[in-house]
Amino acid sequence: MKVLKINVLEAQDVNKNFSGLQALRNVNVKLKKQKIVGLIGPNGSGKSTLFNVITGIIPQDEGDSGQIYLNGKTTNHKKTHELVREGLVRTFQITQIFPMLTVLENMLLGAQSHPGENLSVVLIDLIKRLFKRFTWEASEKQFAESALEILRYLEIDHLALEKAEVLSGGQRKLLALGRALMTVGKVILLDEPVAGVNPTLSNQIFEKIDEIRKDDTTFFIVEHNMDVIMNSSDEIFVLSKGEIIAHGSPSEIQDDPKVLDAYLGNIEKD
Amino acid sequence: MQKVNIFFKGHKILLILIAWISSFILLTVFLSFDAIPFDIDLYIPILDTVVPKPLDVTLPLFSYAGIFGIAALSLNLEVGVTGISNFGKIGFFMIGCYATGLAFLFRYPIFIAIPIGMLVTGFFGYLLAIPTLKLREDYLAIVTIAVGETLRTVLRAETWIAWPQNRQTSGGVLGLTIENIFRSSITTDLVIGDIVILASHVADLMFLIVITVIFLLVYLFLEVLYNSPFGRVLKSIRDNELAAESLGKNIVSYRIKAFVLSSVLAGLAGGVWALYIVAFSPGGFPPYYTFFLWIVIIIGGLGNNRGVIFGSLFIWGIEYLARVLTSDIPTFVGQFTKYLNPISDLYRQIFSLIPFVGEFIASLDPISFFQSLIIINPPEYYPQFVFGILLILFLIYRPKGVFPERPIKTVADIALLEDSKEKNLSSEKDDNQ
Repeated sequence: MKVLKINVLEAQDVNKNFSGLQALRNVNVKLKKQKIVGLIGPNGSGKSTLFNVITGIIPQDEGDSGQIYLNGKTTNHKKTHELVREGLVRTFQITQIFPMLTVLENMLLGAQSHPGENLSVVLIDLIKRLFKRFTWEASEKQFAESALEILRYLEIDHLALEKAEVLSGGQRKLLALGRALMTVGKVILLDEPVAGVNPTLSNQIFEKIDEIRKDDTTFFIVEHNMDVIMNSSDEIFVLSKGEIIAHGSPSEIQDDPKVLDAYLGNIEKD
Repeated sequence: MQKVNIFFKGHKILLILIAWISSFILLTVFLSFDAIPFDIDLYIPILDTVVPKPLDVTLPLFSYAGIFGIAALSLNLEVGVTGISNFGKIGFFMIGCYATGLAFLFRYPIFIAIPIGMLVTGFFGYLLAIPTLKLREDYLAIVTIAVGETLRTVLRAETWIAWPQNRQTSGGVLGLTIENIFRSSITTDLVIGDIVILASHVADLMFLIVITVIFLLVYLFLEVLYNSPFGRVLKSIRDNELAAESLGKNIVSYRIKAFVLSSVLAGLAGGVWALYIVAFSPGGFPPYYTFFLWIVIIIGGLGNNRGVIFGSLFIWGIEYLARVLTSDIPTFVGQFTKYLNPISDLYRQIFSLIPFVGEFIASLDPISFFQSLIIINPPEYYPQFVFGILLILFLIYRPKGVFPERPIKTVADIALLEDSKEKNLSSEKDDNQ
């Protein structure tokens, strides 16, 4: 059987500058299917910017160049919400939650193609089935069940009916992660998923990620916790000052002098 | 197996209706006693003592509260739920009013004229939404103010607007005049024992019932909408646009839908207003009313429709009672002059003892100042003083309003709650065993 070797996500020669500051310089990243890929680098090296460019949150201006391919198709000029429909989901370093909604509602917002989110469905239901059950109630229940399952795994199911504003920093991280899992995306970009989460739970989360990726999902993870990322990822990219300086398996990266330079400063020159 | 959909199960619509009716009856009865120091006869031209005069106050008050309540509900959909700052709401209200009035002048029956008004307003809302809803919040606010004012100016300048009625006299500044369907169909007085209720009062009462029914229907419709996944997406956009977009929600499309829906409801409120007020002109839609609606939803509770009902009644109560009682307030304050004068004399005597600056401080007597402020100023500004102070106090001490926003209840939430109740019950049984 012939196996198609298409990279699920590919960034080709991506350049990005913010009014003169070159944030990304000729960045090339290739993500293979069902892999966990780490992205590390010192603060300010452009990791989050790369995520923003890939997901279309920062639009490409004049003077920026490069192509991004999702499943072999270019994503230029596509909006963030369109890319989510195609299976590219992300979380943020500073957790973005909906404080006035309950934890369960937060999770349910991750559900894709929910019939009840369509205004015309809600209006027609209201006219046709005023005192009967609405047509979208069934799918709402299904989504709620899978949301609760994820919440149970992340150990925040007891907070399901609380407003999200009461959650602590670590719990908010878990909620954001859960919401990303809820979208059933094929490529999931996680920006520091376990920062502020206790070590036992963060190991469990990475075990869960390892489990999910077998189900045809690819993860691209920014993380400062070296132990966790070295243990769990298949491949690591190292960014420094907007450039990819190293690329390879965790053991190769650990021995790479360039990486040590980037993190600790160049010792030889001093 | 539950047959009724989730929203009508245990919904407190009946409680709201009872609160609305009982506050109407209570206020009417209260005003019919002579216990209050104000003399409301001044306002009422009818001198027959058997006529229950308080209805002249309560009928318009509740009608105003109901009609502007619909407008406030529609503003709450934009501001409280979707997070679109609309400062030109009264412009949409006015379009609905004119469109319904014109349709009515073309001899369409009301149940066609009002939907025409709603459709026209919705269309205007759509035209405005496409270019503006991509703007940042503060720019959107500026644009909506401008649109509301522009519409008013245009309607004032264009005399041809009244063409189906009378080419010579109306339109423009004079506005439109339509027939009062309720008053023209009910012409006989209602006699119950000693009490005679005027035909105009009966007609207004019928209209008030219609307004109440429409108001409650709009309320129910919005409750269903807010507790649906669609309403959840609107609230998520208000809370965090970035997160909503990164979960695959098309923000601009949802905001346009909410804006158009809200415009349609404002058109409905305007249409009912046209049939109620009968004669209207562009001068009757000042920007003051937009801010009035904002005060209603801020005091009632942003994002909570029950708060809107309360706020509308409360604010219109102050506004309307003040309008009725205004001429009496200076006289009322004047009664206290004999008690206040000795205090202000004492103030002057004490401060004039201070060397050099004493005379100046004594002339700044606060008591006389407030006395003159109340007696000299035009009485229609009194409620505006009160609203200003209320708004500041609420924003400082209770920014979430009298009725704070409650978390939405969808099917999932309720199913989960029932599960946990069952679990609790079973665990209690276990404990007992």
